[in-house]
Amino acid sequence: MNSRQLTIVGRIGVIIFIIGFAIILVSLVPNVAIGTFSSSESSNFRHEVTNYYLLSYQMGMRIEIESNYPLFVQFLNISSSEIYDWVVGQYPDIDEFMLHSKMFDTEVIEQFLVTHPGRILSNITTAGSQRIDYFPDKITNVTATIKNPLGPQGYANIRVTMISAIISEDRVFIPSITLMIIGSPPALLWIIKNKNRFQFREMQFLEKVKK
Amino acid sequence: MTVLCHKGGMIEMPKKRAFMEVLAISLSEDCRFPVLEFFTFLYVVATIFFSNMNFGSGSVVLFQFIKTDEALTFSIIKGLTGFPIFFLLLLITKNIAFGLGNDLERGTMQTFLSYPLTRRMLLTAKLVSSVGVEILLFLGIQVCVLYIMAPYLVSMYVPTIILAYVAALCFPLFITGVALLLSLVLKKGSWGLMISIIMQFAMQILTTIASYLNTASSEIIVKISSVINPIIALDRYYMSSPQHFVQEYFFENNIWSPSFSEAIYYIGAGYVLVLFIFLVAYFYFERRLEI
Repeated sequence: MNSRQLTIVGRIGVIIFIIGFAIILVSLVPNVAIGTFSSSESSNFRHEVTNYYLLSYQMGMRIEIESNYPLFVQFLNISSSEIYDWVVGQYPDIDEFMLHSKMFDTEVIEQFLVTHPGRILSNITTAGSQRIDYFPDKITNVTATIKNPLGPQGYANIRVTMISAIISEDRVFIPSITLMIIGSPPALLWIIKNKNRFQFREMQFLEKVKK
Repeated sequence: MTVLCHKGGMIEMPKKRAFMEVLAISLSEDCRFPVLEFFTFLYVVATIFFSNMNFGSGSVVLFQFIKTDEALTFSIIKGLTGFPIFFLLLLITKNIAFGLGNDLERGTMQTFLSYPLTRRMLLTAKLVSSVGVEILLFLGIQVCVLYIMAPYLVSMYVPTIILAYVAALCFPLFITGVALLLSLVLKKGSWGLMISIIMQFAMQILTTIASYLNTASSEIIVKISSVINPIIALDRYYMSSPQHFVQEYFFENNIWSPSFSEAIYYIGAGYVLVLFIFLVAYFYFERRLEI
């Protein structure tokens, strides 16, 4: 490989490395909570359905759980209008108040899932107190159900918040590291081969600064 | 074809080799370490920060009203290209103004003319170095970052993404053409750089004002702006789709909203204009420019 070829390959390597490094750096900016949307505390916690949100890969849902029992959290792809229409179809005679309470009933959601399979986005079993940050893969409607598998017992304090992330760290970590690994060898080779030139430039720069 | 070598003798140099030689010299000047690396970092950070998806809960509210996936994809690409294109334009105009402009100003161009190349080929080598490489880098980074953030969009809506980028790049190319022409005519890079930056800001301000005024004259301004910057026409097409809330809430029904084929015509017209400016620049460099 001649000098020019090495320069081209080396510079491409540096650029690939910088892309990975910049993405990692941006992903380190912490997620920002956008208000607390619901908070509930119960000494005999059984189940709960969160509100219906439209989320994206940069707009997520944070569920903070304080509990002395493991809880079962399920993220579902259901929109509020969809569940509303379905509840109206199933219970045509109920009033508006009951209709809204049905929309947030875990058993109703389970019935909905029987007729609408493939809506489960993620299942998580918490180890007592835990914070879950969930970002869907695409822009989609999301709700979450939190259940106590042991039935109505035990203390639970649940806070649901919408969070905004510049870029989700979980999503970008592996691709960014891969880019950095791909870019490193040619970049290092080029830097080592041009070590003297860089030192010379550095000396020139320092001399200019002194003057 | 022979050329004088640095030791005083004559050496054989085929045209292709001479072209590559000029390209390599220009690249080492335009993409000097660490300029390209610095702009790569800026592109990545700006692409992520200024994407449409980053405007907090407002973006989610907006997405609720964009019913078609194509419109959503376009909206995201438009957000992605917004601010990073300004950096691209800075890099390109810097290369044109301080690369080509200074070559003319200081007489370095005469050295390049000693290569066995036609003037047309020489200018092409210069443009590939100062514009082509930068656009490739910009597109590569944008698509790479978009794929990492939203892989399903890149894999599902390729034609919409290509169309959005084609429309988005027309205006920077137009400004580049103007900067090139000015640098050639004035033989000074700084003027070209200054005027192109002023033009960009003027264009942005004019288009924004015209977009919010709903009068017959503002419609003409928007149409003329759409020829120079066809992303406006494409934006109007996607915004004017009946499902889009922007049309419903902000614009009255009589606002100009092109059909898809009209938007394509505007993109075509924009590129014809760009081609014309570049042809004039080539003609001037080949026939009229005295070095």
